[in-house]
Amino acid sequence: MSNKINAQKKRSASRRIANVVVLVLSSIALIAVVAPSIWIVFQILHKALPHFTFSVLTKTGAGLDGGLKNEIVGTAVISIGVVLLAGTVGILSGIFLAQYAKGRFASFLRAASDILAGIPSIVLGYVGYSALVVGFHWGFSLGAGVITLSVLVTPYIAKTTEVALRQVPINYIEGAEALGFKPTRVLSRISLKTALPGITTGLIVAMAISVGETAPLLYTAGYSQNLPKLTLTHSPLGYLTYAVWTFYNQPTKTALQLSYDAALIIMVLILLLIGVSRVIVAQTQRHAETRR
Amino acid sequence: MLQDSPSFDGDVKKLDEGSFDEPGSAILSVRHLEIGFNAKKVIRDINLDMPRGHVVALIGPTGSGKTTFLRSINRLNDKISGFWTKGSISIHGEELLSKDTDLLELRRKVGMLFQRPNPFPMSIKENVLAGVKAHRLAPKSQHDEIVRENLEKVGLWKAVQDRLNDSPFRLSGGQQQLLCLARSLAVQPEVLLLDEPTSALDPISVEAVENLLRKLVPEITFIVVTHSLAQARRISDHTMFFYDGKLMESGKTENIFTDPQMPETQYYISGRMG
Repeated sequence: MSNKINAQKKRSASRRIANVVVLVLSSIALIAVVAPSIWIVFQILHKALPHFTFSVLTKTGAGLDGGLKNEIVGTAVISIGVVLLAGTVGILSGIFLAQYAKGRFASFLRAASDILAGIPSIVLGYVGYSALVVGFHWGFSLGAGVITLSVLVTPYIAKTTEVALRQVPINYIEGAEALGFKPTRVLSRISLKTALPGITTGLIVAMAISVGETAPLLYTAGYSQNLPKLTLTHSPLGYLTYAVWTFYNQPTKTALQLSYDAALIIMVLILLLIGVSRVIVAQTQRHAETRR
Repeated sequence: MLQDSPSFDGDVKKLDEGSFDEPGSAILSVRHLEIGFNAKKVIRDINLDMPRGHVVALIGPTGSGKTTFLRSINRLNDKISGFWTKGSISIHGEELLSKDTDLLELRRKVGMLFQRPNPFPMSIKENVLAGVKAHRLAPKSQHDEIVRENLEKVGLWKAVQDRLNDSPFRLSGGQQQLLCLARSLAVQPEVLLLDEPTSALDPISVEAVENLLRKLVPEITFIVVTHSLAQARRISDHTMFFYDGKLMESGKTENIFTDPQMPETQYYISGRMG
């Protein structure tokens, strides 16, 4: 009898130890993920805020001095262009992959998209440079930058759209079909609406990537301290990541200051993007079965 | 083995020996129907007529093909790969297994209620109007009235009249199923296909749905797949017993349950099979 009780005690002790070990390990893993991002945020705030003036937002660059207005507008223009171009192509591709592509053809398309997603951004930048900037004689330009960045993020948007559409419950779709909805109406009223949080998240991440990406733009968009011209060719323009990278390596204090300001603005922009996406998702999912 | 089963010779009345009382002329006719998925045959040579304005129960063990048959009536199986049909199903003499069949109009005429309530992720009001809007059945000015009328029909109006713009997923399972029924009724169907419509509901909701069916005939013809023999007995006028892809026996519900002709039917309704 007592043997049995002892064995039981032993077992429950080992279970408790296992519990603690798992808890400790997972906590360490979590800290390893969260700590660097908190540290980065804190560092940027610490370096940028003490010297921050709002004139940075309103003045364009002048050598190693001035403000970041041209870069801010440039980043905004590029991101909007990418969302329009890559968003349209990516979402349509995702719909095609989820609804229409079948069998080997679908596997081929998915593989092609995955390969495109795996190409390093600097390689895409070089391809954009040789094809658009040099080949088409577009020069460093808004068009070349937007197209190159779009190629980079389109597979990502297509993937998230496809996955989100595949997760729409078959219950909804059959219910709508049984009610006599046209296929396009099932898609627009039921599937896309239900998949919207996933699709929006994909778009926002794509936008965040284009706000934060540097390498492809160095090759294609060039740089300018003037406000961007809204023409697609021969229109080099500034963008925030360029300021972070270039001004950080300059010898003057004001340049270093501008570098941190640019980093701060990128961070705020990305936080804003996340916030906006949350609001959109909350607004459209008021009637959803599960709240996200 | 099939010799004693009702064989069809072209005359509606003969199938059930004149039991389709008025307005019980056939609304749905099935001739030599075979259904399968790839090489597998699920329905074998079925001939039957569904009397208009009645509740018809389809009973039979799991895998007997009754749900496949039900889902073929509004062509919901079409998208499943390997699905095929032979023979004919017609409504008012109009073939509905043809390539030229207008699926949207067919599905307006022949609605469906599923095993699990499936309200759409839109407000209660929009749910009721979903089909009405898809088929453009009524101008916007009549929408409020349609919502009220159909929710009243299913007995849900009082419970939801103050929260028509709320999410349907805050309703109970039974209320959700009633909402789905209201959504189906709003497009004024002639036939409603019910696939075990109460198997996911609590007893009180089951009763509510069953009473509703009785109330809505003979305006609408109901074809109900059910695993509950007690329910088939309570709600249906006619019962059709499916076994192994064949229609073994069909007739007035009281006859099927008190005086079944086929040994398989006897086994099944006495609870020794299925």
